Amino acid sequence: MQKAIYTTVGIDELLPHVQALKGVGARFVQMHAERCVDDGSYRLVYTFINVRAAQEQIAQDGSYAIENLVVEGIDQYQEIPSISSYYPAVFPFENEAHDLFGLAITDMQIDFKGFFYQVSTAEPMSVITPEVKAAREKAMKVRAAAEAKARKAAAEKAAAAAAAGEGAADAAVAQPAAAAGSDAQHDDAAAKAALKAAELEAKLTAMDPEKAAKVRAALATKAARDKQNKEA
Amino acid sequence: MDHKMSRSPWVIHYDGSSCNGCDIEVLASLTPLFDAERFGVVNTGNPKHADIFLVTGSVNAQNLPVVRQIYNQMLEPKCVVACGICACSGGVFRDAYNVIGGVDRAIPVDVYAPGCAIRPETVIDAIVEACGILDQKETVMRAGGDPLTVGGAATWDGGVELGEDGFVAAAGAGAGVDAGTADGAPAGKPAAPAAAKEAE
Amino acid sequence: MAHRSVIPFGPQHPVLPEPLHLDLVIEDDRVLEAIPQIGFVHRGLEKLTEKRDMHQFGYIAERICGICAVGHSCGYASACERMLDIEVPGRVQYIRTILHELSRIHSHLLWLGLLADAFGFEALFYRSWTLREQILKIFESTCGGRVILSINEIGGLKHDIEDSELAGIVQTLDAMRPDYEALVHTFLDDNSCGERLHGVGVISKKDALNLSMVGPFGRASGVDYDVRMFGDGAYAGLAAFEPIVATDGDCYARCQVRCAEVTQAMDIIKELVGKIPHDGIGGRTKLTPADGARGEVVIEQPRGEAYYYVRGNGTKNLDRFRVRTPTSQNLAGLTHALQGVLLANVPMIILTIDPCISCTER
Repeated sequence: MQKAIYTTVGIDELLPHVQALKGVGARFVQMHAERCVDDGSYRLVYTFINVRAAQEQIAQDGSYAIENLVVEGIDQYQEIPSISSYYPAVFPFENEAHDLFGLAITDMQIDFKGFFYQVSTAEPMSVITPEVKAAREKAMKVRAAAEAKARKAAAEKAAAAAAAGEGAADAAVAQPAAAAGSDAQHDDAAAKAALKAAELEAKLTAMDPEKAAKVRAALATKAARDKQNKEA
Repeated sequence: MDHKMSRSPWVIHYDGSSCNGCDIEVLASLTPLFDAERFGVVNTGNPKHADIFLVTGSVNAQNLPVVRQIYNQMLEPKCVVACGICACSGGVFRDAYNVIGGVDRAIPVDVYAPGCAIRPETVIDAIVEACGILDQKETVMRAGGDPLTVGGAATWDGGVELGEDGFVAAAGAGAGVDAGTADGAPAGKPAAPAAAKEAE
Repeated sequence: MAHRSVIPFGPQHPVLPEPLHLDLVIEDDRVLEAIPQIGFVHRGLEKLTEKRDMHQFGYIAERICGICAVGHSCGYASACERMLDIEVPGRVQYIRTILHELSRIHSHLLWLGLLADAFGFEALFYRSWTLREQILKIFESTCGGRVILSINEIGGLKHDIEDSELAGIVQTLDAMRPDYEALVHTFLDDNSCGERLHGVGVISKKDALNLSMVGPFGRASGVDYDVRMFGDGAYAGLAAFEPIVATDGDCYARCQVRCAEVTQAMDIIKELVGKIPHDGIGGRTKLTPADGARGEVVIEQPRGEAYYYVRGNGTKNLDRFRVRTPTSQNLAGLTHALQGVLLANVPMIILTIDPCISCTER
C-alpha cells in the first residue's frame, strides 16, 4: 500500500532538505508547479522515493512512502534555487516551470532560457481564467451551505436524542414526577437554545466573512450587556 | 504513354502534435497484415522523394513552420492527407492552449481521414483517395495548368500566419479555441474531397 | 585537424516516427554534446482540467500517448480513486493490470520493430510488427479499439472482460510464444544485430543512479528498480516478482531487458488470469473531490516509472493534473549517453531509450 508524505518547507530550507534526501539515497521522481486560484501564489512540489527504505518497509508492513517537499506561497518573481546540482534529471521540469509558469529558477545546470517550450501564449499555465475562479467561489459557497445544513441537522438530532434519552431515563428510574417534569423542561429549553445557536452559526457561515464578523461582534456585545443586566 | 504517379505513390509521414496513436497506425498500415505496399506505397524520409504527405496530429506554433517547410519541399503533383481527428480539426485537444487547430491551419489538405486513433484501413482508404487527386493534378499539369486549382489547395483559406516573435499573429488565434471556428473553415468536414470530386 | 560543428537532428527524421530535435555538437565524427529540444508536440493538456470535468478528463489522459494509453488511463483512474478514497474491487485491479501488461508486450514489440528498422533489418521489423498485431487483435476483441481502449472509469470499469475471453488471451499468448522466441533468437544471437548493439552508448550504474534513470533504460545499466516490485494492486497477488536487470549498460543490454520483459509479462498475465477474483467491476463514482485532496500513484509503464498526481479543489474539475512520464526522466540520461559517441550511432542510441515524445511534452 502506497502512502504519500507532504512536508512543507521554506524556500531557504529547500536545498538542505534535498541534500539530505540525496544523502540517504532517495531517487528523484518529479517536480511540478501549481498555481493557487485563491491567492494567486505558486506552489512547488518535489517528489522522491527512497527505494531501499520502501523495500524494507514493505517487508515489515506492506506499505511504502512517496516523500514530497512542498514550497508554498511563492511569488512569481521570487528566485528559486535549482536542485539540478543534486539531481540532474530535474532539468526538463525546472525549464518547464520557467516556460509555462514563468517562475524564476536560478543556477539550472541545463538552462534553456525560455526556449524549452515555444508556446503560442506566454506562461500559459499561470493564467487563472474568470470561469475557474467563479466555479471555485461557487463551489466554496455550496460547500459552506452544505456544511451549515449538516451542522443544523446534527444539532436537531442531538436535541432529539437528548429528549429521547430523558424519556428513557424517566421510565427506567421512575423519578418523582415534579423533578422529572422540571428536568424535561430544562432539557427542552437547553435543546432549543442549542438548536437556535446552531441555526445562527449556520447562517453566519453562509454569510460573507466580513459581514459574519460584524454580526458576531454585535452578538458578543449583546450577550455581555444581557449578562450585565442580569447581574444588575 | 500513360504512366501514372499513383501506381506507386511514395509517402512521407510527419507527426504534428499527435499522441502517437495515429503514427503507429500509419506505420502499421505499411506492415504485412494491412500491407499498403501492395498499392506500391513506399515510406520515405525525404520530402523531395514523396508524393503524399501524411500528417498526424494538430499544428501548434512550434511545428507549424516545420509542416510548411516539408510541404514546400515536396514537388508537385503532391497530396496532403490529414490522418486522424486531431489532424482534421484538433480533436479532443481543440481547446488546449497550445493547439492552433487542424493541419489545414498550416497547409492545404486534400483528404481528411477521421478516427481516434485512425484505423489502418482508413489510412489505406485515404491514400487511395489521394491517388485519385494525384492523377487529376498530373492531368492538369500535363495540359499546362496549375496544380493548385485541384484538390484542397483550390478552396484553401490560407490558414494562420505566425508573427515575428513566433506567436500566432492573427487575432484570437492564439487562444487555440477560436482558431478553427473563427475562420469559418469547417475543419472536421470533408469539404476538400467533395470539391475534388466536383472537379472530376 | 579537429573541426567543430553543430548538426541539427530532427524534428523530421526517418528513425523516429515522432518529432524530437537535438543539436549535436560534433568534432569530426564524434559527438561532444547533445542538447535536446522538445515542444513540437506540446498541447498543454494539463491545463485542460479547467475545461473538462474529472470524468471527461479520463479520455484526455488516455490520449496523452497512443502507445502507453492503457497505462495512462489506469494511472489517472487510480490517482483519482486515491484522491477520493475509493477502494476498487479486486477484479478491476486485475483486469487493469492484465491490459497494462498486454500493452507492455505490444509496446516492446513495437520498439523491437523500430530497432530492427533503425539498423536496416526490414524483415525483422515486419516480423515484430506482425506479431504485435495479435495483441492489438486481443484489444479489439475485448475492448473495441486497437489503440485507445477507454475501459477505465474513476471507480471501476465500463464493462467486464469475461472469463472465457481471458482464457482466450492466455491461449493467444501461448500460441505466440514459439514465434516470439524465434524473434528474440534473431535479435540477441544474430551477428548482424549484435554488431550494431554491442558496446554502443554505454552508461554505468553509477551514472544511471545519479541521472535517476527509469525503466528498461535504467535496468539495463544495473539499476534494480521496477515499480511493480512494490506490489501495488494486482501485483500483490503474484507469487514472486523480480525486476529484470542487465549489467552491461549498452544498447544490447537494453534490447536484452526488453526481450525478457515480454516473456515476463506473458507469465504475469497467465498467473493473474488464473487467480482473478469475481467481485464485480465497480462503476463511475458520484463523489466530488474535497478541496485540497491529493491523489498520487506511481506505475511501471513499458518505458519505466510514471507518476500521476491529481489535486481537487471542491469543484467537479480538478485543480491540477500532473503526469511525469518515463521519457522526460530519461532525457538527462539520453544527453549523457550521446556524449562521445560516433555520429553514425546516434539514431541507434536515441532509439534504445525508447523515447516517447508525446508523453514527455503532453
